[in-house]
Amino acid sequence: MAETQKRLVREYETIYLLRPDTPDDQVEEIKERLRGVVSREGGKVIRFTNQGKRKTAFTVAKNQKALYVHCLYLGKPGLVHEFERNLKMIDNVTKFQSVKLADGVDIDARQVEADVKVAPVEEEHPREEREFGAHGEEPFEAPEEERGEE
Amino acid sequence: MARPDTGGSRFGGTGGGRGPGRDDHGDRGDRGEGRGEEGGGRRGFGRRKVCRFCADKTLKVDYKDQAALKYFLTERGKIIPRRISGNCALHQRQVATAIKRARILAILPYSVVHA
Repeated sequence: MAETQKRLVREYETIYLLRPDTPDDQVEEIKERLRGVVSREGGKVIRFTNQGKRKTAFTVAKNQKALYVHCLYLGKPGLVHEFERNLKMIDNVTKFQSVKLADGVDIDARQVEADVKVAPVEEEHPREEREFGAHGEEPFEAPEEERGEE
Repeated sequence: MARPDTGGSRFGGTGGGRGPGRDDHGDRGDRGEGRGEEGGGRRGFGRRKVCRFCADKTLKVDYKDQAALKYFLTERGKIIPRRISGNCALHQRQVATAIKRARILAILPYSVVHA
Protein backbone atom coordinates (compact mmCIF):
# COMPACT_ATOMS: atom_id res chain seq x y z
CA MET A 1 0.00 0.00 0.00
CA ALA A 2 1.13 3.51 0.56
CA GLU A 3 4.79 3.54 1.53
CA THR A 4 4.36 6.55 3.77
CA GLN A 5 1.79 5.01 6.01
CA LYS A 6 -1.02 7.27 7.02
CA ARG A 7 -1.90 7.17 10.66
CA LEU A 8 -5.62 6.91 10.80
CA VAL A 9 -7.14 7.79 14.12
CA ARG A 10 -10.52 8.83 15.42
CA GLU A 11 -11.81 12.22 16.23
CA TYR A 12 -13.41 12.72 19.61
CA GLU A 13 -14.83 15.56 21.57
CA THR A 14 -15.23 15.78 25.29
CA ILE A 15 -17.16 18.38 27.19
CA TYR A 16 -16.47 18.66 30.87
CA LEU A 17 -18.09 20.79 33.52
CA LEU A 18 -16.10 22.52 36.20
CA ARG A 19 -17.33 24.07 39.41
CA PRO A 20 -18.23 27.70 38.76
CA ASP A 21 -15.80 28.94 41.41
CA THR A 22 -12.77 27.37 39.73
CA PRO A 23 -10.08 30.05 39.35
CA ASP A 24 -8.80 30.77 35.87
CA ASP A 25 -5.30 29.49 36.49
CA GLN A 26 -6.69 26.18 37.62
CA VAL A 27 -8.77 25.94 34.47
CA GLU A 28 -5.57 26.40 32.51
CA GLU A 29 -3.80 23.86 34.66
CA ILE A 30 -6.46 21.24 33.96
CA LYS A 31 -6.22 22.04 30.27
CA GLU A 32 -2.48 21.48 30.24
CA ARG A 33 -2.81 18.28 32.18
CA LEU A 34 -5.30 16.92 29.64
CA ARG A 35 -3.13 18.08 26.78
CA GLY A 36 -0.32 16.06 28.32
CA VAL A 37 -2.55 12.99 28.57
CA VAL A 38 -3.51 13.21 24.91
CA SER A 39 0.04 13.65 23.65
CA ARG A 40 1.31 10.86 25.90
CA GLU A 41 -1.20 8.48 24.34
CA GLY A 42 -0.13 9.45 20.85
CA GLY A 43 -3.07 11.72 20.13
CA LYS A 44 -3.36 15.33 19.17
CA VAL A 45 -5.46 18.09 20.72
CA ILE A 46 -7.07 20.22 18.04
CA ARG A 47 -8.43 22.87 20.36
CA PHE A 48 -9.94 23.66 23.70
CA THR A 49 -12.99 25.88 23.83
CA ASN A 50 -13.88 27.57 27.06
CA GLN A 51 -17.61 28.15 26.86
CA GLY A 52 -17.75 30.12 30.07
CA LYS A 53 -20.10 29.91 32.99
CA ARG A 54 -23.53 28.77 31.95
CA LYS A 55 -26.68 28.09 33.80
CA THR A 56 -27.33 24.37 34.06
CA ALA A 57 -30.71 22.77 33.60
CA PHE A 58 -30.55 21.35 37.10
CA THR A 59 -28.21 21.67 40.04
CA VAL A 60 -24.84 20.09 39.48
CA ALA A 61 -22.78 19.58 42.63
CA LYS A 62 -25.14 21.95 44.46
CA ASN A 63 -24.53 24.72 41.95
CA GLN A 64 -26.90 26.28 39.46
CA LYS A 65 -24.03 27.22 37.19
CA ALA A 66 -21.08 25.40 35.72
CA LEU A 67 -18.06 26.21 33.64
CA TYR A 68 -18.24 24.37 30.32
CA VAL A 69 -15.04 23.38 28.55
CA HIS A 70 -15.06 21.62 25.21
CA CYS A 71 -12.05 19.69 23.96
CA LEU A 72 -11.60 18.40 20.43
CA TYR A 73 -8.88 15.84 19.88
CA LEU A 74 -7.67 12.95 17.77
CA GLY A 75 -6.51 9.63 19.07
CA LYS A 76 -6.97 5.92 19.43
CA PRO A 77 -9.89 4.44 21.35
CA GLY A 78 -7.83 3.80 24.47
CA LEU A 79 -7.15 7.47 24.75
CA VAL A 80 -10.71 8.29 25.68
CA HIS A 81 -10.56 5.91 28.58
CA GLU A 82 -7.35 7.49 29.82
CA PHE A 83 -8.74 10.97 29.26
CA GLU A 84 -11.87 10.22 31.26
CA ARG A 85 -9.89 8.49 33.98
CA ASN A 86 -7.95 11.71 34.43
CA LEU A 87 -11.10 13.78 34.48
CA LYS A 88 -12.46 11.61 37.24
CA MET A 89 -9.39 12.33 39.33
CA ILE A 90 -9.79 16.10 39.13
CA ASP A 91 -12.00 17.25 41.94
CA ASN A 92 -13.30 20.35 40.21
CA VAL A 93 -14.69 18.37 37.29
CA THR A 94 -18.32 17.62 38.04
CA LYS A 95 -19.52 16.10 34.79
CA PHE A 96 -18.07 15.05 31.48
CA GLN A 97 -19.07 13.32 28.29
CA SER A 98 -17.09 12.10 25.30
CA VAL A 99 -18.50 11.61 21.83
CA LYS A 100 -16.86 10.13 18.76
CA LEU A 101 -17.16 12.48 15.82
CA ALA A 102 -15.36 10.72 13.00
CA ASP A 103 -13.48 7.57 12.04
CA GLY A 104 -10.37 7.24 9.94
CA VAL A 105 -8.99 10.75 10.29
CA ASP A 106 -5.43 11.31 9.12
CA ILE A 107 -3.65 12.67 12.17
CA ASP A 108 -1.06 14.61 10.20
CA ALA A 109 -3.61 16.31 7.99
CA ARG A 110 -5.34 18.07 10.85
CA GLN A 111 -3.87 21.31 12.06
CA VAL A 112 -3.77 22.28 15.69
CA GLU A 113 -5.92 25.32 16.34
CA ALA A 114 -5.65 27.99 18.94
CA ASP A 115 -7.71 27.73 22.10
CA VAL A 116 -10.95 29.62 21.99
CA LYS A 117 -12.90 31.37 24.66
CA VAL A 118 -16.49 32.11 23.78
CA ALA A 119 -18.93 34.24 25.65
CA PRO A 120 -21.41 32.21 27.65
CA VAL A 121 -24.84 31.93 26.11
CA GLU A 122 -27.31 34.07 27.95
CA GLU A 123 -30.71 32.82 28.89
CA GLU A 124 -33.21 34.52 26.61
CA HIS A 125 -35.55 35.33 29.43
CA PRO A 126 -35.46 34.18 32.99
CA ARG A 127 -38.49 32.16 33.93
CA GLU A 128 -40.13 34.59 36.24
CA GLU A 129 -43.14 35.66 34.25
CA ARG A 130 -44.56 32.22 34.91
CA GLU A 131 -47.03 32.19 37.71
CA PHE A 132 -48.53 28.93 38.65
CA GLY A 133 -51.65 28.23 36.73
CA ALA A 134 -50.87 31.08 34.34
CA HIS A 135 -51.98 29.12 31.31
CA GLY A 136 -53.27 25.63 30.84
CA GLU A 137 -51.90 22.79 28.83
CA GLU A 138 -49.37 23.40 26.15
CA PRO A 139 -50.65 22.01 22.86
CA PHE A 140 -47.87 19.45 22.83
CA GLU A 141 -49.10 18.00 26.06
CA ALA A 142 -52.50 17.22 24.60
CA PRO A 143 -51.87 13.57 23.65
CA GLU A 144 -51.64 12.64 27.28
CA GLU A 145 -55.35 13.10 27.60
CA GLU A 146 -55.82 10.88 24.59
CA ARG A 147 -54.09 8.07 26.35
CA GLY A 148 -56.30 8.50 29.33
CA GLU A 149 -59.55 7.87 27.52
CA GLU A 150 -58.55 4.49 26.17
CA MET B 1 -62.24 2.59 20.79
CA ALA B 2 -60.44 5.76 20.16
CA ARG B 3 -57.89 4.27 17.79
CA PRO B 4 -59.96 3.62 14.61
CA ASP B 5 -61.33 7.10 14.86
CA THR B 6 -57.87 8.59 14.83
CA GLY B 7 -56.90 6.52 11.80
CA GLY B 8 -59.95 7.54 9.87
CA SER B 9 -59.39 11.21 10.19
CA ARG B 10 -55.70 10.95 9.47
CA PHE B 11 -55.98 9.15 6.14
CA GLY B 12 -58.11 10.89 3.59
CA GLY B 13 -61.24 12.92 3.80
CA THR B 14 -63.67 10.12 4.52
CA GLY B 15 -63.30 10.81 8.19
CA GLY B 16 -64.70 14.25 7.53
CA GLY B 17 -68.06 12.79 6.51
CA ARG B 18 -68.31 10.81 9.67
CA GLY B 19 -67.30 13.70 11.77
CA PRO B 20 -70.61 15.46 12.41
CA GLY B 21 -72.30 12.27 13.52
CA ARG B 22 -69.71 11.83 16.22
CA ASP B 23 -69.83 15.02 18.08
CA ASP B 24 -68.77 13.38 21.27
CA HIS B 25 -65.31 12.95 19.81
CA GLY B 26 -65.29 16.36 18.28
CA ASP B 27 -62.89 17.79 20.81
CA ARG B 28 -60.07 15.91 19.18
CA GLY B 29 -60.54 17.82 15.97
CA ASP B 30 -60.77 21.13 17.75
CA ARG B 31 -57.55 20.49 19.51
CA GLY B 32 -55.78 19.85 16.24
CA GLU B 33 -56.88 23.13 14.77
CA GLY B 34 -56.10 24.94 17.94
CA ARG B 35 -52.46 24.27 17.30
CA GLY B 36 -52.36 27.30 15.08
CA GLU B 37 -51.31 25.59 11.89
CA GLU B 38 -53.88 26.89 9.43
CA GLY B 39 -55.98 23.75 9.75
CA GLY B 40 -58.33 24.84 7.03
CA GLY B 41 -58.67 22.12 4.40
CA ARG B 42 -58.26 18.86 6.23
CA ARG B 43 -60.70 18.28 8.93
CA GLY B 44 -59.45 17.25 12.31
CA PHE B 45 -55.80 17.50 11.61
CA GLY B 46 -53.70 20.42 10.68
CA ARG B 47 -51.34 20.61 7.78
CA ARG B 48 -49.12 17.56 7.43
CA LYS B 49 -45.94 18.66 9.11
CA VAL B 50 -42.64 18.31 7.32
CA CYS B 51 -39.45 17.23 8.99
CA ARG B 52 -37.59 20.48 9.46
CA PHE B 53 -34.23 18.77 9.12
CA CYS B 54 -35.23 17.27 5.78
CA ALA B 55 -36.64 20.56 4.57
CA ASP B 56 -33.44 22.39 5.39
CA LYS B 57 -30.47 20.17 4.62
CA THR B 58 -28.00 22.54 6.20
CA LEU B 59 -29.64 22.12 9.57
CA LYS B 60 -27.80 19.62 11.74
CA VAL B 61 -28.87 17.99 14.95
CA ASP B 62 -26.38 19.08 17.56
CA TYR B 63 -26.57 18.11 21.20
CA LYS B 64 -24.78 21.30 22.22
CA ASP B 65 -27.41 23.55 20.70
CA GLN B 66 -29.78 24.13 23.55
CA ALA B 67 -32.05 26.57 21.76
CA ALA B 68 -32.71 24.25 18.82
CA LEU B 69 -33.39 21.18 20.95
CA LYS B 70 -35.73 23.01 23.28
CA TYR B 71 -38.19 23.05 20.44
CA PHE B 72 -38.50 19.29 20.73
CA LEU B 73 -39.21 19.25 24.44
CA THR B 74 -42.47 19.79 26.24
CA GLU B 75 -42.70 22.23 29.10
CA ARG B 76 -42.17 19.35 31.43
CA GLY B 77 -39.00 18.36 29.64
CA LYS B 78 -40.31 15.31 27.81
CA ILE B 79 -39.30 14.53 24.25
CA ILE B 80 -42.10 15.44 21.84
CA PRO B 81 -43.29 12.45 19.80
CA ARG B 82 -42.76 12.28 16.10
CA ARG B 83 -46.44 12.46 15.24
CA ILE B 84 -46.54 15.91 16.75
CA SER B 85 -43.13 17.37 15.98
CA GLY B 86 -43.37 16.10 12.40
CA ASN B 87 -39.83 14.78 12.28
CA CYS B 88 -38.98 11.88 10.01
CA ALA B 89 -37.87 8.67 11.69
CA LEU B 90 -34.20 9.27 11.02
CA HIS B 91 -34.15 12.75 12.43
CA GLN B 92 -36.39 11.94 15.35
CA ARG B 93 -33.84 9.32 16.35
CA GLN B 94 -31.05 11.84 16.04
CA VAL B 95 -32.99 14.42 18.01
CA ALA B 96 -33.77 11.92 20.76
CA THR B 97 -30.11 10.94 21.04
CA ALA B 98 -29.06 14.56 21.06
CA ILE B 99 -31.51 15.42 23.82
CA LYS B 100 -30.30 12.52 25.91
CA ARG B 101 -26.72 13.63 25.46
CA ALA B 102 -27.60 17.20 26.33
CA ARG B 103 -29.29 15.98 29.50
CA ILE B 104 -26.12 14.28 30.65
CA LEU B 105 -24.30 17.61 30.40
CA ALA B 106 -27.10 19.48 32.17
CA ILE B 107 -27.80 21.49 29.03
CA LEU B 108 -31.39 20.25 29.00
CA PRO B 109 -33.48 19.09 31.95
CA TYR B 110 -34.48 15.51 32.63
CA SER B 111 -37.76 16.75 34.00
CA VAL B 112 -39.30 20.04 35.01
CA VAL B 113 -41.51 19.88 38.05
CA HIS B 114 -43.92 22.68 38.78
CA ALA B 115 -45.18 23.64 42.17
